[in-house]
Amino acid sequence: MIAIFKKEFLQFFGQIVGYASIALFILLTGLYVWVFPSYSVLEQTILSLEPFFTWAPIFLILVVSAATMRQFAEESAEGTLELLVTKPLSSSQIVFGKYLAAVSIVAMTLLLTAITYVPSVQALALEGVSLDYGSITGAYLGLFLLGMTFSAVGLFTSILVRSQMVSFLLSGTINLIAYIGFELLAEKKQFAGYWDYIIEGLGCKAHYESISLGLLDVGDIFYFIALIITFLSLAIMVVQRWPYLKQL
Amino acid sequence: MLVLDRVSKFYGNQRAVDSLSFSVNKGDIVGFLGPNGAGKSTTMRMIMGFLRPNRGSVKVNGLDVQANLKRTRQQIGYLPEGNPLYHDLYVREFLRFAASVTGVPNPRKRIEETIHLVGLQREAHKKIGQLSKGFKQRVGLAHALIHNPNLLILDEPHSGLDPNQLMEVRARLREIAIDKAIILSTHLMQEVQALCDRVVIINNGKLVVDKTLVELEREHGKNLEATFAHYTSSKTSVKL
Repeated sequence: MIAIFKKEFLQFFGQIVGYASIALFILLTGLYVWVFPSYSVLEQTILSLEPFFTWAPIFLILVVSAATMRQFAEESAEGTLELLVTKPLSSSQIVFGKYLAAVSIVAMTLLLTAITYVPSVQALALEGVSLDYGSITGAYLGLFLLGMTFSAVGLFTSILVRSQMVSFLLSGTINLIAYIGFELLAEKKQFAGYWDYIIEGLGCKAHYESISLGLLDVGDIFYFIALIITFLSLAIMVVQRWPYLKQL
Repeated sequence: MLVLDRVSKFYGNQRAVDSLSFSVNKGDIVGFLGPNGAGKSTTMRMIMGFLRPNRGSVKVNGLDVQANLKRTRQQIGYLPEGNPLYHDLYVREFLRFAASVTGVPNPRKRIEETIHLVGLQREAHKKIGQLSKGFKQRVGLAHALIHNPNLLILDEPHSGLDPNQLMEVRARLREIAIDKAIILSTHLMQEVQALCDRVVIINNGKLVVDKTLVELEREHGKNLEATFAHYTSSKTSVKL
């Protein structure tokens, strides 16, 4: 599993798309934190990293889809998946190795923002005023759980297709719907009163926002873990049947 | 070392491999021949446990492949058709990966030994994508040999090589073959004559020939292309 992890990590950073997707994440979140006047911390009276945590999940979908799109799709297209599945490795070792690499890329990306945005925003504060580190820690944990969930989805979609671009689009669409789609659907008038709460709870955003408040609820953590286990299990099942699979 | 016992593989109603039996022993270099679509790659994939036979069994050193996937794969080196490689990895990175997943003890030493064995010393610092086709073929061979397997399955290792590269691969295979069993699928009859002791020919998934090269040449003359056509041409009825 560690060997697969290392290979995936080397391959991600062996291609320009690896660096480009992380740079894009920093650039896009940076625009919201520093530049766009409606969100920029420089224009606000209350010092917080809220603009970052509001927009980061959307841009994280980009990074994760770029990291996972090639993981199986490229191997299928290039024929190297046959090399991999004929090694003395189990399907779960292959999937977990690749998943670990994707999650590490997410962790690295988030860490980069934590060591740049947090101290720089803190530096803007008046003497004696401190950022709410409790909620920042919660929000980073929520972002990481989101990244882990997006990665499991991306890994699963990557094995269904041979084209990296289709994998990117499929993973991006599913993750976007999972994140924000349910909340938007819950706004329908017919759902007002009871169903809107339930439908919103099906999406990732409600659980992410709950964790971001700094309240660690077991239900929220369980929600993400259940999604991760579901998609990784599906990926393992598909890898086991890959020689018989008709990929798109 | 390798025993196929009445192995069959169906794709829907189509029989890709039909009750195929043959065995390979240590020191054998077997030319595994057949027209395109005869079932050679399917057979090799069943030996690797990549495809599950519908009937019959494949055993490697007495172990049923499907029941002992990890253990049998540790004893086989496999070069799949088309020599798929990770082009964005460096040669040593790729071999380190292959050594690690096959549990090679002292991988650093073994990687250098294998690089030397296949003659990759001057190219080992490059990315695989930068190499010529001949050197890529050597990387594929190195990858198949890294865990020092006693059975080598090579699916068209000569495909797309120029005459010089063919001679190089031939020389490497001769060196490697001393203490191993090798099954070699190819369409190049001169390579079979130069390398193999035995020839197995299949047609429409069925075994049509399993003879030593000497026997075949005695029966049909030196022209292996004509012998191959004799056994596999659709106009010819073949008796075993």
